[in-house]
Amino acid sequence: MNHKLELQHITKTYITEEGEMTALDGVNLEVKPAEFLCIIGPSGCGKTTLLRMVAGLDHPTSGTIILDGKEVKCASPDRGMVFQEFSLFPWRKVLKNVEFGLEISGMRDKERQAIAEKYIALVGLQGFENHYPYELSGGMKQRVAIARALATEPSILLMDEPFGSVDAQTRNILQEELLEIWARTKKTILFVTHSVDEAVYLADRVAVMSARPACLVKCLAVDIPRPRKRTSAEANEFRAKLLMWLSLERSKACVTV
Amino acid sequence: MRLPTKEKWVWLVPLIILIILWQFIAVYVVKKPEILPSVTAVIFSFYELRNYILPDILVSLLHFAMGMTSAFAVALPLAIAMGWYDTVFKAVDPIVELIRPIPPLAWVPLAIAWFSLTHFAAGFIIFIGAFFPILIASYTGFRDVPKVLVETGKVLGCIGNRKLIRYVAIPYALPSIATGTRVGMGVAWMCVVAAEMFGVSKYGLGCRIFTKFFPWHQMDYVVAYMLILGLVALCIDRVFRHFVEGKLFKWKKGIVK
Ligand SMILES: Nc1ncnc2c1ncn2[C@@H]1O[C@H](COP(=O)(O)OP(=O)(O)OP(=O)(O)O)[C@@H](O)[C@H]1O
Ligand SMILES: [Mg+2]
Repeated sequence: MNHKLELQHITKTYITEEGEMTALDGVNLEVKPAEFLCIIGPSGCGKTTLLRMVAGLDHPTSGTIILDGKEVKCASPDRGMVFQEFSLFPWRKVLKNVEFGLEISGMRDKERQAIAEKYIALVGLQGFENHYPYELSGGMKQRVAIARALATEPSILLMDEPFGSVDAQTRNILQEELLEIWARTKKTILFVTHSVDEAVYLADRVAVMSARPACLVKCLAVDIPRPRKRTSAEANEFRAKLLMWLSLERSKACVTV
Repeated sequence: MRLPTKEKWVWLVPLIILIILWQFIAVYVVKKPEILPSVTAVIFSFYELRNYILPDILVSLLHFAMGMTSAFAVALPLAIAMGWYDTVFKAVDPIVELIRPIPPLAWVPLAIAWFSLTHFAAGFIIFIGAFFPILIASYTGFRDVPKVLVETGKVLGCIGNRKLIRYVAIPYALPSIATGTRVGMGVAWMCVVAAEMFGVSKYGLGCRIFTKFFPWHQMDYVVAYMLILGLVALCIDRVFRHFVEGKLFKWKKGIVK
């Protein structure tokens, strides 16, 4: 029982106008404490659905999700989540956004401000505390979202393509920063992506999902020592392996990707 | 918005032209003060009516405030319920849509039957006029809260509807509520004149126009009071915009301007 998170035979069926639609079909997965796990798969295969269920925002049709030995039933601040789309509260300045979870928990003004400032510094946004979200770039917004998710000290961080909507250079920088944060905070991270490069650079392990109805087809351990170089021979080799698995899946897919 | 000083005064040009034109037509073309009073006559009537103007404004403002505050106090909780709980919306919306198209003036007989000729009867007509714009704009604001913000709230510890409404829905809907209130105030001011036509009180701008000046064909007095009606409404709107839109909604800048 040394798993941080356990997904046991998760299925998810949506009832739509055209009838039942199985998004996930028997997903099993174990995540170790402090592990950085990337989930990769074609668009529309159910990655977001899976993450939302771990967060407690949605419920599996069957199967159980066990976090720290307890079944996940509803959302709670012990799981931090960074969403695929921008999710800052537009009416709150950066500082107040990061403070949000602490404010809800009833922490006093001074205390929560100190904590929020610490995390804002961690994501490199000192000096932007009093900016509104509309004054920030896309990359900065996602950094604030990460700081906000970390501020409540969750034991696991769920990230749904957090860098999907920023440009390539910013994305590289954010990836490096995330690895630093991960090394410093020792969080377990569940990171959804559809970028092979991202998975190879970040992950301890990569879980490959099949097209719909999705299940996990393969878990690959990325045994490249850190710090990694994006262009090293090992990285290229692993990338090739991962691409092969993905294209195998894609050839089966009937959805357009 | 800051205009260059030259443009800052352009509005004066058409205004002066309009006044000159009005004076010219009244004095040299129409020549009948009971059809079109001249500018000078209107200005002189301000002087003649100086003792009546302030009490009339105050009584009209009293009616206005009675109607507006009660409309706001009833519409806002209902808007929250309708915007947040779909069942409430489905249950109440047909009734709202049935009553909404009834012109506030059609309520006059009932208003007098229920409240007889008191300030409350006038307040009631104004209530009817202001209620629906506030309600519709506010519940639309609540219904539009993006799902991702609600889910962010849940993940950060907003357990239950009360916290979600307080920390996510209300801040998000505030601009819509403000817009509804502004529109509602416009309608309410129109209703002030209508409500006072029926002799609910001895004072009031609308009352004076219809029960004192009009039967005696004192058109210069009528026009003077019309101008006061316009000016007071303009002031109310300016004050509202200054305090509410300028101060409260800085965060909206990125979205609307
Ligand atoms: N609320 C819902 N009702 C019905 N179908 C849904 C719902 N949410 C998601 N789906 C369907 O489930 C499937 C998986 O969606 P999901 O958002 O999890 O995909 P994804 O892997 O995150 O894709 P992407 O990489 O494009 O973000 C999709 O086919 C989608 O149409
Ligand atoms: Mg997704």
